Amino acid sequence: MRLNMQMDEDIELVESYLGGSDEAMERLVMKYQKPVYAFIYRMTNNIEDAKDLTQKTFLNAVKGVKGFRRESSFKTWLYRIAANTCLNDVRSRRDETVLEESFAGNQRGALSALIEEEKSRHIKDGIDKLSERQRLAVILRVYDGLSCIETAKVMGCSEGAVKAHYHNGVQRLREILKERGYEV
Amino acid sequence: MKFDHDVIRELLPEYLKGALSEEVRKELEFHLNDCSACRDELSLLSELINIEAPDPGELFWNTLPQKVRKAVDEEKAARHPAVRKVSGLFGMNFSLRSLLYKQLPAAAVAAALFFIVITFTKKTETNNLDPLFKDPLSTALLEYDDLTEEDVPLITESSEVEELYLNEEGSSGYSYYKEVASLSPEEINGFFKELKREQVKGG
Repeated sequence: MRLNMQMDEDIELVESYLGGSDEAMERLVMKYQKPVYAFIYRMTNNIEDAKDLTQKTFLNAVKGVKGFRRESSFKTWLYRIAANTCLNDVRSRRDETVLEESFAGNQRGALSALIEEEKSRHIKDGIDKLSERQRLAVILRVYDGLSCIETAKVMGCSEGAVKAHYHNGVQRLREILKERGYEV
Repeated sequence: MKFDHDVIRELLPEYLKGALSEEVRKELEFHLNDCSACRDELSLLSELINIEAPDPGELFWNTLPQKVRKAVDEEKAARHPAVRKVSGLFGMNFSLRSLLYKQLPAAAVAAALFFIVITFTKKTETNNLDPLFKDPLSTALLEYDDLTEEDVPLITESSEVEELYLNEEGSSGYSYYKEVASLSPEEINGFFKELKREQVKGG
C-alpha cells in the first residue's frame, strides 16, 4: 500500500517535471539522493567518485526521463541508471594510463584506511574484487534491499542470472575473507 | 514448509530487512539453528550491511538538487545556443525556448494567412481591371448609372446615329458626312465661326 503510494508520488513528480515544473525534479533528487549516493559509494568505494557519479546519475536520469515507461518503479529505473553510470565510469577508467590508475589506487587505499575496523576494510576490498555483475547483485540485494525481480530489472538480466551472480558474489567474498584469515 | 540451502540464502537479504512473513521467518531461523554454512553467510551479510557509506555532508545534500537543475539548464542551452533563460521580467520567469515553441507556430499561421489575403486581394483587383484595359469601351463593363433607360438605346443601339454620322448614305438618303464633304473651305470656316459664336461644342 505504502509502496504503491510512493510509486504514485514518483509518477506524479515525473509528470509535473515533464509539464515544466523544475521544482518537481528537485524534489525527486532530494528524495533519492541519499540511497543513490550510498549505492554508488559501495560500487566505487570512493567518496569523491560517489559524489560526482551521484550528480551524473541524476543528470542522466533527468535527460532520459522521457524514456521512463512506467514498466517498473521510478526507484528501480533510477537504480538502473545509477548502475550504468557507475559501470561506464569504471570501464572508461580502465582505458586510463597506468600512472593514473596507480594514483587512483593510492587514493582508494587512503580512503579505505579511514575505516576503523579491519574486517570492514577487508570486506570492502573484497567487494572491489568481485566482477561488475556480482558486485551489482550483492549491493542491490543486500544494501539496497531490492528483490530479485527488481535487481533483475536494474541489471537488465533474468531473475535466474541475478540469483547466480548474487550467490557467486557472496561465495567469492567468503573466499577472499578466508584467504585473509577471517572465518565466515 | 522446509527450505533447502539455496532458498534460505536467497531469503537472507529479506530476513535482514525484516521483510519476511512470520511463518517464513520462523522456518528460516529453525534452519539457521542447524546449518552453520547459512549462519556464516548471514554473518557475512550482516558485516556488509554494517559498512556505512561516509556522509558527504549537508552542503552536498542541500546543493545537489540545484546543481542537477543548473547542469540540465546548461546542457539545454549548449544544445540550443539561441535559447537562454530570461528571468525577472515584470516578476515573471519564462524561457525564450518556450516562447519560441509556443508563439512561433501562431505567428507563422498569422503570417501565412496575411500573405494569402494579400495575394488573393491583389489577384482579384487585377482580375477586375484586366478587361477594362483590354476593352475600355466594353458596354458590359461601363457603368451607365447616370443615364435614363431612354438614353441608353439612343447611344448604344440607335441606327439613326449610325446613319447620320458614320454611313455615307443612310436608308433616308441623307448624310451629314456627305453634306460636310460638299462644303467649300469658305463655307466650312463660316460654319465653325457660327458654331463658335453660338458656343456649340462637339459634333
